[in-house]
Amino acid sequence: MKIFKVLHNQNKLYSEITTEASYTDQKDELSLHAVFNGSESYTIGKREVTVFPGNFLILNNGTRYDRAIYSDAMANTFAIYFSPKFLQDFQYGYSLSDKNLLDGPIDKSTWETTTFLETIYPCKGDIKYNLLHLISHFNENADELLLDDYIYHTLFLFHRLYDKEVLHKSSCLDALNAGTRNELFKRLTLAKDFMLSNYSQDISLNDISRQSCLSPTHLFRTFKQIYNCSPHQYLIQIRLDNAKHMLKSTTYTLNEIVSLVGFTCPSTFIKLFKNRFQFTPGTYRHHIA
Amino acid sequence: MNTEVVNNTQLYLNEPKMALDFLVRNLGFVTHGNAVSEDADSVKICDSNGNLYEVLLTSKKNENNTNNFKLTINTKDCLQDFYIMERKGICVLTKPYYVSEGLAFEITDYWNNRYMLIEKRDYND
Repeated sequence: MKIFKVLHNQNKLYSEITTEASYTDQKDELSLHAVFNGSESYTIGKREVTVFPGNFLILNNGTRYDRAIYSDAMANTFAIYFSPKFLQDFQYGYSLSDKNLLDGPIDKSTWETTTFLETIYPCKGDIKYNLLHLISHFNENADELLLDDYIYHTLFLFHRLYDKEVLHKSSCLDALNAGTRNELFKRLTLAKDFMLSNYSQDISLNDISRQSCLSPTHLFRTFKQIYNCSPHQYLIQIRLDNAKHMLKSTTYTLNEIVSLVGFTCPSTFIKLFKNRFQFTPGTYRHHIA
Repeated sequence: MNTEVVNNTQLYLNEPKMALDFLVRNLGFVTHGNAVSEDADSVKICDSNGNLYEVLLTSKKNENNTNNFKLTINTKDCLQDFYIMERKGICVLTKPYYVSEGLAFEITDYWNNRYMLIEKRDYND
C-alpha cells in the first residue's frame, strides 16, 4: 500500500507498506526517510546503507539514489520531502535573530539552502514522537495545516539533532584544522553507517576500517573521541537496541532474535542485554514492552 | 480531543461554574454527579476514557488571579490540541514548546484561569 500527498506548499509525504519494492535513479528535494518496521536499503553513489527502525536517513536536494525493500515481514516506511521554498523560509527564521528578522527584508534569492551530512540519524525522543503523530494524521487524511505544523516541528527537531550529532561531535575531534576535522568526521560516519546497516553480519574492525578509508588504529582512536566507545562496543549497542525493538514488536523467539541481530551465543546476549538495560530479555518482553 | 488526566489538585477559579463549563466544552471533560453549587468545595470530572478525578475549587472572587498556578492537563497529542484550540478561538498563551517531560503549550479561559496542556514523552524508551 502506498500513499503519496503533495501539500499546498509543495512539501510531500510518502508512506509505503510492502514486502517488496524497488525504485531506481531517484532524485528529490531534501528528504527524510524513516522505517518503522522491516528495513529499506539505499544505494547512494557507491555507498550502500540500510535503514532499520530507530533510525532515519537524510538525503540532500539533488542527490541521486536507488532504494529497495525486500523483507519477509511487512516493511513500513515513511518519507518527507521538504520543498526548497519551505526549507528556505524555515532556515531564514531559524538562523536569524528576532531583531534581524524585524529589521528588514533580506533578499531571499541570495539565501543559500543548507546541505546536511547524508548519513543515518537516530530516530529517538521528540523526533520519533513527532514522526509517529505525523504518520498517524497523514494516514487519517488530516487537515494540511496540521500536517504542516508537524513537518515544521520535525525540521526544527532535525536541526537540533544535527547540532548535537554532527556539529558538536565533529568539534570533539582532535584534528588541527577544520578541513581535516570535517573529512575525518565524514569517514567516521561512513564507519557508523556501515555498522548500522550491517549489524546482523559478522563484521570485523578491518571490514569497518576498509569502508571508512581509515586504518584500524586511526579508526579505533578517533571513533572513541566522538562516540565515547570503541567501534566494537558501538556495534554491540546497535545489536542490543535492535533486539529490544524486536522483543517489543515481533513474535520471534529469543533464539531467533539472537541470531537475527548478529549474536552467536544466547547466554552472552542475555548477559549483555541485562548489563545495558538492567533487565533480562524475557522480563522486558513479558513485563515491560 | 485526546485530553486524559487532571491532577487531583486545588484549583483557584474565578467563576468556578463557568470555568468548569470551559473545561467540559473545550477540553473534553464531563462533570460527574450533581451540578456545581455556589459553595461547592470540589467537583468530580471524568475524562474521555471515563476516569474519574476530583478537582478542589476555591473561588477567589474580586481578586485578580495573578498567581502562577496552572492546571496541568495531559494530552496524547499536543500539536493537534494546539491546532484545535486555535481553530476554536481559544486564547493560547504560548506556542508549543519543548520541556524536559515532553511538549507543552498554555491556554487561558475568559476568567484568566491558566491551563498547561502537556504531552508527556518517555525519553528513555
